[in-house]
Amino acid sequence: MATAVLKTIDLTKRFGRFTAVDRLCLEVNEGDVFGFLGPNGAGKTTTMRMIVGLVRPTSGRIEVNGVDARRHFLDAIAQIGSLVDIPAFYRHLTGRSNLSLLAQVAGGVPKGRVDEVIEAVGMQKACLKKVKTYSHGMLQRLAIAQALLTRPPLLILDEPTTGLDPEGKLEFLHLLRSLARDQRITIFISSHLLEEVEEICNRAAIIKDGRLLVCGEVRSLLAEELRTYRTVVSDAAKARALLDGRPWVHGLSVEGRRLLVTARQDDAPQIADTLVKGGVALEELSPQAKSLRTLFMELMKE
Amino acid sequence: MTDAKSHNRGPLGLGSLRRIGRLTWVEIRKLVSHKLFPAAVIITLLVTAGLGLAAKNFTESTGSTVRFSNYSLWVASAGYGLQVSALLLTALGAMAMSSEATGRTLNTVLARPIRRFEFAIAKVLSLVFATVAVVLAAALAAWIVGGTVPEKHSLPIHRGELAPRPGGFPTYADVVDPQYPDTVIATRGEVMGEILYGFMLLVVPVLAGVSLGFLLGTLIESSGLAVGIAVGVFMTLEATKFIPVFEEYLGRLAFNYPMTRITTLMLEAGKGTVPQWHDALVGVGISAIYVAVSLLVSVTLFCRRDITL
Repeated sequence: MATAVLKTIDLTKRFGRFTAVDRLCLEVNEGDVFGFLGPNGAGKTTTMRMIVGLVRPTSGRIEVNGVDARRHFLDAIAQIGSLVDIPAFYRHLTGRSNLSLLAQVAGGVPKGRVDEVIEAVGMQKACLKKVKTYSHGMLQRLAIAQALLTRPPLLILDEPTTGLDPEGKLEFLHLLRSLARDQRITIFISSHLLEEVEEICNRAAIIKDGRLLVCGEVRSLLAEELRTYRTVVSDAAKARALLDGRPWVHGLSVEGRRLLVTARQDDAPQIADTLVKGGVALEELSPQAKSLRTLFMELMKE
Repeated sequence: MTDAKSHNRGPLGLGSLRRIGRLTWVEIRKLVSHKLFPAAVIITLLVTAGLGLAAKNFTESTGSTVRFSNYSLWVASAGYGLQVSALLLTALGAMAMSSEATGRTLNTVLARPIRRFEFAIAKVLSLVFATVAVVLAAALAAWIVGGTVPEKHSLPIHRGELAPRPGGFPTYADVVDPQYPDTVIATRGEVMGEILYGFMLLVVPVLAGVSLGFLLGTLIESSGLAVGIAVGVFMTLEATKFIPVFEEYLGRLAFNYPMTRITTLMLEAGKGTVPQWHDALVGVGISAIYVAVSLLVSVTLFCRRDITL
């Protein structure tokens, strides 16, 4: 059985009357690269801020490796390396001085660890320059370096690829992959870049308006959830009339003689059955290749 | 892994004290590497020394009968120099927390195995360090200038015939009765002791300005706005000294009032008189209350706040 490195139980945050996160239950297992998706304002950053102790939950619990983060904050946070929001450092200091200060803040970081993390992110030369001269990509690397200082078993990264150029994104994702594979670090990452999350994450959750919509293995999410079926029929208008309003039809659009029907995989036979019984000749019914983006967009429409 | 696990018992346990010590050292490192603190020390040195030299040269070159003794020049230039430095320190206090918020470095620092109150206390202690350093800088610069007063001027103002004094630097000597030059009113050690005690007391009202800045910097997340308001409040309080009605009723409640009072008593000490420190202690006490309340409110607010920058 997989061990939960991070667990949120009915996690809720309200700012006045506004509920930013609503009874969120998540479980991130050891070794996971877990994608946390949602549109702007969905509550991703608030959730991450609650996990690292920057925002106090209104109710609910956070457990890190079984440790209650509210009651034993220091024990819980000691197991987390984080990058929440944009990477921020003391601009008048060099990258190395920043890491040295942050190592001292954390305490118990052995001598030589600063050099190790600098090497891990490939900033041996750049770390001698002042942070105010850094590009966004260099700041992101430095942010990863600071997150790794205490050898945390869990990394929490809030939209870490924002602002990076395509080459920078690729390099960054490669770095994350190698951290997960070589150093066995569990990664909890939020992102807007669905293709990239799909590429590197084995599990994912999608939230909207602070509520969890789906959570699970990326493969099974794509296989089990809504899919779009391409149908070619004799009379598209009639077919549309037959399917429109059916509770199991989640989306419907007509392109000439083709009909694109969004439904759960289990409901696919009903599409054929309804059309045939309604007197529409069905020439083709095939599921379209599905991506995380398709799933995301479908869920957002709902 | 960090040392959090072994020292996570109680709010002010050994682990907490260790973390506060470590964080204070980090804060002092940050302070020293930042431009404003070295600038405050250098400006204090220059302003204090400049004021002292200007006063000394003015009285010498104009042939004025009023002469500064070495002690009075030391105290007067340090006292006035510190008025400028207190303003800089207030700005430094306002920046301490607000610059972390503006630069979003709070996100980076607080997501570590430390408690918020430990971080806030470390900030406060680093500001105490800055205040003491600036007061020492003012005292040192003024002491050097005061020590260059020629021997013929080395007695207090209006003391009649001056006794011959040892030359060289520094020229600080025992204070003697001008009528009976062989009679020592106060030894050099006694006078120095009183003046240094005065400098020690001066730390408290200066710190009151710093803690006011710190409070504003905690309340206002914009660094520029926090500094602007803190300096504005400081200047307004300073101005009350020049409005008689305010000075009488409100001026005594302002934290800069005891600075003037302490400086006056230090000047008295320089003349060999035993200063009545209790006159200043009420003002120092009010400043101490400002410090305690400002810091308590700042730390409490900071610990309860959601960091949503």
